[in-house]
Amino acid sequence: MTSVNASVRTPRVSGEELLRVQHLVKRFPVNHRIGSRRRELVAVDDVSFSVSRGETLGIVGESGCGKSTLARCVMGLERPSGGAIAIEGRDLTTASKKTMRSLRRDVQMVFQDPYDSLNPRRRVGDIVAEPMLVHGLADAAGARKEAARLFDVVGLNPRYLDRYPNEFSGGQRQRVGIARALAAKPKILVADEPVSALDVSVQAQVLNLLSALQREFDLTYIFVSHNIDVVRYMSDRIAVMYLGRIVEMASAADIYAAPQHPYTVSLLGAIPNNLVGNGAAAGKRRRRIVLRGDIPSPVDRPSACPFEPRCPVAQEICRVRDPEFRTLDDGRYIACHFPGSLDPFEA
Amino acid sequence: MPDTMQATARAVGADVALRVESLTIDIRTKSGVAHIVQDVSFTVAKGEFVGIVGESGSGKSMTLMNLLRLIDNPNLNVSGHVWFDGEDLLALPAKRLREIRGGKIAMIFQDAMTALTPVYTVGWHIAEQLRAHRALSRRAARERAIELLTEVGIPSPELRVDSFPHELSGGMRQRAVIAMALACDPKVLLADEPTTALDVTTQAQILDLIRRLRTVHGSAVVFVTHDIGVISDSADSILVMYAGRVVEQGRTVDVLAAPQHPYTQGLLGSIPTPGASRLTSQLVSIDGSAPTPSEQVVGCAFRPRCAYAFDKCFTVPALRPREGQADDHLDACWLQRQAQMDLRIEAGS
Repeated sequence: MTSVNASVRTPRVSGEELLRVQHLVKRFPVNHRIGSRRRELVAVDDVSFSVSRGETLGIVGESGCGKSTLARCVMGLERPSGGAIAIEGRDLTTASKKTMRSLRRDVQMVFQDPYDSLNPRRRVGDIVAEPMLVHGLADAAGARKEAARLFDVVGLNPRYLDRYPNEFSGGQRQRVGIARALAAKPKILVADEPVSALDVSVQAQVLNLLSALQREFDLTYIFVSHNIDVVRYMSDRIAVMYLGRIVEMASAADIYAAPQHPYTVSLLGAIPNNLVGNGAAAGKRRRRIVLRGDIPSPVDRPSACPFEPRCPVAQEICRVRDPEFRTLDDGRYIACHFPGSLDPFEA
Repeated sequence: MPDTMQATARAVGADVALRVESLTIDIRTKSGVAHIVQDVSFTVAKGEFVGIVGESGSGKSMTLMNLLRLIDNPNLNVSGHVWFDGEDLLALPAKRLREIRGGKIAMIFQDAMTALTPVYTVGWHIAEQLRAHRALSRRAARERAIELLTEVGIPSPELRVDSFPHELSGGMRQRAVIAMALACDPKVLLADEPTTALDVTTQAQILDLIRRLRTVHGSAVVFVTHDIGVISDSADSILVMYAGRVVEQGRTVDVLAAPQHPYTQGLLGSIPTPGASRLTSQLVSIDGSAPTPSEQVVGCAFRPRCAYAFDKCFTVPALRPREGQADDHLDACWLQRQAQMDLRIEAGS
């Protein structure tokens, strides 16, 4: 049913930088009792990365790690507390209203919940046409024609344009959401857990569609998910987040073959997966790692390394000094005093 | 459990913990009768871990809930037998059933927050189980509650016993619910997606805990999930449900190594295998979506989505073993293995 056929391909990453995020910080005030110290929740803490045209950057992490807040900042849905977000050199955080409008067009989003993210009282054709009208890309008739074409592109029958969202299944609604995102002709598509709400057999349809669209329209993706296998499947590079920080960022293949940060190692070791030997290289078995405790609250962050209280290989310095985000010789970024000290594979 | 032991357990009735026979559940709705579970049969050996896998609407949770008749709805019609200790749970008087619920068969739910009463402490919940099924004094029940919290790995249990559910994290809450379920040393533990609401690293902790407790207490586990990966290294055997019916069942190793039903094959193909990339492999997607219980599909329910469907599929296929497969590896598909291979080669060329 997918009209664009995904096939095996090589990535068309141009190397030309499209998005640059520098020292991004997002804090939220937390309700506090009178007389007590004012408290803040640090959702995103000093995050820096860049994304090249045609590339997919995957962001993986558990709940509360700040991955969604980061995505929403890039979308311009949240105003950062500090740092800069630049798209083709234009800074989103200091942009005028007019520049902001065009920047908003450049970044579009596919949301997690295909039920909550479509207005139940509007016809899906109007939902898809709206971004074109808002950004002045087409008149009403043109927008409708384009909506029909987009329906075809995402594998929906254009005859359904006048239906309401409740007449569609979850997977079909997600296709409507993708059509709406494409309507603005964006450069970057931010997908925040786009398949988490879907049934397993339908997830593959949406992932295949997103891959095919990327090739066809030369799109750049920021793909956010808690599922590291899905992120690996979709991404060229992966950023692993923990408690508001990127703790490791490397090519997707490197993250799987040779994870260096103890958290990345643990995340991969936590996948209960016996289906094909857990993605370890031939002859190796991924070590099963069960971390102790829970993720600390972003309000009460550890003072030094955020992962230290749960880290199986933490040492004295980890409790005292915050590891800086640095580049290793192989080009990966890491924030750890002892990268590579937790062996990801069984001896 | 070693394979040989399990095979014997299946044969000898005395080693069976739970046997479900032709469980069928219908619900009367305004638009007619919906068949939500049809003719589901399986056996759980003592100490066995059975996984039930299915997507939303497959009837997996309805099957589990109705083993203990937990849904009280006059429009629900449940037939079949659930044999436990020589008694049919579906025919038992309410009073006798109450002794078994929570006592001999316990349940863990998906959402630990709704499984706990917000106005009572964790200790109260566990003590309630103990006082209902064992004649324990308040003090003894509290002491036992602290022991159980220690066993499920809750830090400083003597303090946590007085915590309210909202004071615990999601993973801790699920541990508390497991402690409740274990309070009376159940023979069978029913688990309805107990890790779905949890983070990956917490999920690993809870799975680890269930596995460990199963070894210590020797309880059998029936684990319902939508994610076949979650139980792939825990379950001894797997049932795959689709639209209210079991479409494939067998030992986990057999089902994962050689899935026979096109739905099972599609389900396994639609999950990115660890390390797989879109650049080197394409996911097998199953077109369309699963029918809702009110949509009646003539014949095999998977037929409208099946790439191999042919005229015979308008009749419902029975679960049966296949030549060349293990005797206890059953699937419900008309397709001959050879025909399926030929079709796949044709589709691939």
